[in-house]
Amino acid sequence: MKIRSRFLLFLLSSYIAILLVGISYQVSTYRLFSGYLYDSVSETFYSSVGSFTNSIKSLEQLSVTIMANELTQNYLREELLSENSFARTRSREELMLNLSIYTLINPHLKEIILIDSRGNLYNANTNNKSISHYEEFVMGSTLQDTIALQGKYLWSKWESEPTFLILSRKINLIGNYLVQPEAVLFHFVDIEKLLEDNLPQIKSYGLKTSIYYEGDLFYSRLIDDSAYIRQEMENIRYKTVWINGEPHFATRIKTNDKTWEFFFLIPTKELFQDMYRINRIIYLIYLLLFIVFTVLIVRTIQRITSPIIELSKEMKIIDETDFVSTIPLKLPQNASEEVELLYYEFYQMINKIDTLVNKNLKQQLSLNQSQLESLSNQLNPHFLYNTLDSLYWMAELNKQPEMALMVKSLSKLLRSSLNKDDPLITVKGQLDLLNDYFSIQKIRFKERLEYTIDVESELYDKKIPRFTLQPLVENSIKYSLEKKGSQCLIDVIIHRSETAEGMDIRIRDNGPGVSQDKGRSENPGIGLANLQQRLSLLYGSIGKFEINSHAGEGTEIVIFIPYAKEMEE
Amino acid sequence: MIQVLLVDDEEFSQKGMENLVPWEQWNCEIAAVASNGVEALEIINSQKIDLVFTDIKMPEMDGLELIREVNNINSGIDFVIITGYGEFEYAQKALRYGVRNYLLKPVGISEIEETLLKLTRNRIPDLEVQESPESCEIDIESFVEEIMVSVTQKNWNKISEILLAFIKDISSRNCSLEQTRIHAINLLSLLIKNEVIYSNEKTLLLAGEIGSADNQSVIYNILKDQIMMTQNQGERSFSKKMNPHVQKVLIYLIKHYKDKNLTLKWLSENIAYVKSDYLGKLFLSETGKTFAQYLAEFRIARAVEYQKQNPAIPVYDLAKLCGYRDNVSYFIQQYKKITGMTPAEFASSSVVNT
Repeated sequence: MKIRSRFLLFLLSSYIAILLVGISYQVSTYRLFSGYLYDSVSETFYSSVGSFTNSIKSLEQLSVTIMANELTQNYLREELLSENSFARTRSREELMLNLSIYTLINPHLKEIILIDSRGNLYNANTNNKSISHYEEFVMGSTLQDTIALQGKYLWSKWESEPTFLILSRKINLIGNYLVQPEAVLFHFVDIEKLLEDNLPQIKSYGLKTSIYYEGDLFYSRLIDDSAYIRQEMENIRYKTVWINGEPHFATRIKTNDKTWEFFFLIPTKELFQDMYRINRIIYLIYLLLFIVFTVLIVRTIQRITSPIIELSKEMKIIDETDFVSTIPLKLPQNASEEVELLYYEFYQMINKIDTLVNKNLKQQLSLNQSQLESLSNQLNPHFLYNTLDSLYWMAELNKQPEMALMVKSLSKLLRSSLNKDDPLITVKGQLDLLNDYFSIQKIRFKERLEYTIDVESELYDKKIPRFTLQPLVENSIKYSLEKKGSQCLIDVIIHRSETAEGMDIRIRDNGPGVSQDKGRSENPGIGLANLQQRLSLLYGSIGKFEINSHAGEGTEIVIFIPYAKEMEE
Repeated sequence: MIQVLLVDDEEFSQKGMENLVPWEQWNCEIAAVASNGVEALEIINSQKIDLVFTDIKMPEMDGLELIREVNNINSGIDFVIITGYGEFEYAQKALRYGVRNYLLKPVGISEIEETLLKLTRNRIPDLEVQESPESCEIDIESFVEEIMVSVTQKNWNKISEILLAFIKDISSRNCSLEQTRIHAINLLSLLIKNEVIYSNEKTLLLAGEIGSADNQSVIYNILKDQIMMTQNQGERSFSKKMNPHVQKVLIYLIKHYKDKNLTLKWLSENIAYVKSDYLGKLFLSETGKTFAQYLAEFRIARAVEYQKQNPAIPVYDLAKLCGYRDNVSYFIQQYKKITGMTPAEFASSSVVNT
C-alpha cells in the first residue's frame, strides 16, 4: 500500500470516528430533550383542561344561579298563578333583561333562550340576533330530554353550528309547589372561545383538538377522523400518531368525573421546529468541516509524498541513464525543509558518483586512447600496409605461399585490431578473423593444432564485441599447446542460448586443465582477464563468463552474449 | 582482350600483380604500368584502357584525383581501388566517383581474380542460345578432389583458388551461362555426395540459386560461401537432411528442363527409382510445391532470363528453349499465369531496362 493512501485512510477513519461520536451525542441529547418537551407540553394541556372544566362548571353553576334568581322565580310564579297577562309579560320582560345582562357578563355565553309552557320562545340578547335558526333545534328532542331530566342540566351539541355547545335546564319554582310551570332555559356556549381562552397556544403550532362528552364527540378542530384517534389512544395518555403520513404528538386527558375527554395533537415537526433548524445547521457545519478537512489532509499528504515520488522517479531516470545525464533536480514547489534536505543530499550523492565514474572512465579511456594513438602514430598505417603488401608480393614472387598467406592473415588481424570505429563486429566477420588467426597458427604448429568451428548460420549477422573469440582461442593454445607439446584440439561452438535472448560461445580444448578449486579463473591470463572485464562492463549481470576445467580433462570456457539491440534492423 | 592499367608506387606490388595474376585467363592484358596519377592520366589519354587498378596514396596525383580526372574526360573505364587505408571517408568518396570495387592491401591474387570475375562478365561473350558445344566438358571430379584436400587442411585460400580455376576452366571453353550452371550444379552435387557440403533443406535453395544465377561471379560466390559456411558448422546442426530422391530429381530437373518429356512418372522410373505418387508427395513436402508447379515456374524463370538477354527472341524459339516444344499457346498461358504478363508484353517492357 502506498504511503499516501495509507495516510488518507488513517485520517479519514479517525475523522469518521469523531463524526460518529458527535452524531450519537446529538441523538441522545435529542431523545432527552424530546422527553422533556413532551412532558412540558402535556403539562400545559393538563392545566388548560383544568381551567376549561372550571369554566364549564361555572357555566353550570351560572344556570343554577339564574334559576334561583328572584326575577326568575317571580316570572315562574306569575306564569303559573297570575291570570293577569300584563303582569306575566312584565315579569318575563324583566327576566329577559336580566338574562341578557348575564350574556354580557360571561364572555363564553352567547345567548340564553327561554321557552315557556305554551311553547313561546324568547331570547335574551343584547346584540342583534346573532344565532339564527335555532328554533328547530331548541323545539326538537333536546327540549323533551331537558324536561324529562326535571331540573338537571343537559349538555348537547348542535350539528349545524359545531362551535356552540348548548347547556339546557328546566327551571322551576323553589318551594313546595304541586304544580310547576314548564319553562326551559337554553344557554348557548361558544366552545371555541372557551377553548381559546383556556388554551392560548391553540392558534399556533397547528394544534389539533377533539373533545368528547360522555363518549360523544362534541367538538373537533382540524381533525377529520376523531374516532380513529380515540381508538388509538385508548387507555394511553400520550403517544405519536400518524395523520396523513405526518407524525403528531398526541395527548389524551379525561376530567376527574370522566365525563369530558380531550385529545390534543401537535405535529412533531412544529414541536421540534427549532430543534430541526439547529440540527440542520450542525449537519451543515459537519459537512463543511469534512470538506475542509479532506482538502487539507489531501494537500498535506501530497506535500509530503509527492516530493518523495518525484525523487524516486528522478532516481529511476538516473539509474536508467547510468549517471550519464546529471539533470539538475528540480525541487518541487512548496517543498518542506526535510524534503529539501533529502533532495539536496541525493543531488550531492549523484554528483559525487558521477564525478567518480567520469573520473575513472576518463582515466581509462585516455589511457587506452593514448596507448592506441601512440601505436598508430608510431606506425603510419599507409606505410605499414604498403610494406605488408610488398612483403606479400615478394613472398608470392619467391614462391613462398605459406609466407604470403601469413602476411595476408596477419594484415587482416592487424587491421581489425587497429580499427577503433566500431566496438562490435558480426559473428561472420569475427569467424573470418578467427580463420586468419588459425591460418597463421596452423602454419606455425602444423598438425599439432587442429580445430573445428560450429556456428549456427542464423547467428552470422548477429554482432558481438571485437576480440571475443581470439583471446579465448589464444588462451587455449597457450595452455594446451605451448605447455604440453603434444597435439591440441580446439572446438569453437556458437549456438543460440536456450535460456535467454543471446548466444552461448564455447571454446573447448584438450589441454591439461586445472582442478576446480584452484582454477584458472584465479590467475587468468591478461587477455582473458581483460575480456572478462570488458564483457562485465558491457553486459553487467546479464553476461556470463564460466570456466569449466578439470585436471587432465581440458578446459571449456562458456560466455553468454546477448543480442545487440540494433541487430533487429 | 581487356586492356588493364596498374597504378602503384610500390615496386614489389607492381611487379607481383603484373606477373602473378593470370590476366590472360580472364581475357585481360596488362597494357601499361604507372607509378603515380599523372603518369596514369597520360597513359589513359594516349591509349585505350578498359580497367584500372590504382592505389590511393601516391606522389603527385593520388588515386581519387585520378579517378575524378578520368571521369571528367570519358567514362567507360572501370576502376578498382587498392589501398592500405580502410578509412570510411575514402571509401565514401570513391563510391561517389562510381567506384564499386575497393580492395584493402595486401591484396591476394585470388581477390584480384574475384574482382576480375565480377567485372569482366559483361565483356565475355557468353550465353549462346544454341545447344552446348562439344568442347564444353570439364573434369569436375578433379576439382572436387582438390577441394576435399583443402577442406581437410582448412586452407580457405586454396579453396578460393580452386573455385576460381574451375570458373576459369569453364570460361576458357566458351561455355554458355547455362552450361556454367550445369557444371556448378554437378560440382555441388558431388560436394554434397562427398559431404563437403552437407545436404539439408538449404541445399535445395542453393541449387535453385545457382539455377537462376545470372553470372559466373554469383555462382562462384554461392559455392565459396557454402563451402565455408558448412565448414563452420558442426555436423550436429544438420538434423534434417534433404531426401536423396528429391535431390536427384531436382538436380536432373535443373540440368534437363528443356526436355519436353520431363514428367514425374518418367523421373520416378528412370532417375529416382521409386513410385511416382510417393515421389510426388516427397517432392511436395520438401519443396512446398508440386512437381508440375515447380517445373513450370523454373521453366518460365528461364524464359524470362532468355528474354532479358535477347528481347527480340521469337516466342516460338522461347517456348522451345524452355521445354514447351510443340505447345506455344500452353507456354504463353503458363507464362502469363506466373509472371502476370505475356512474353511479348514482357519483351517490350524489358527493352527499356536493358
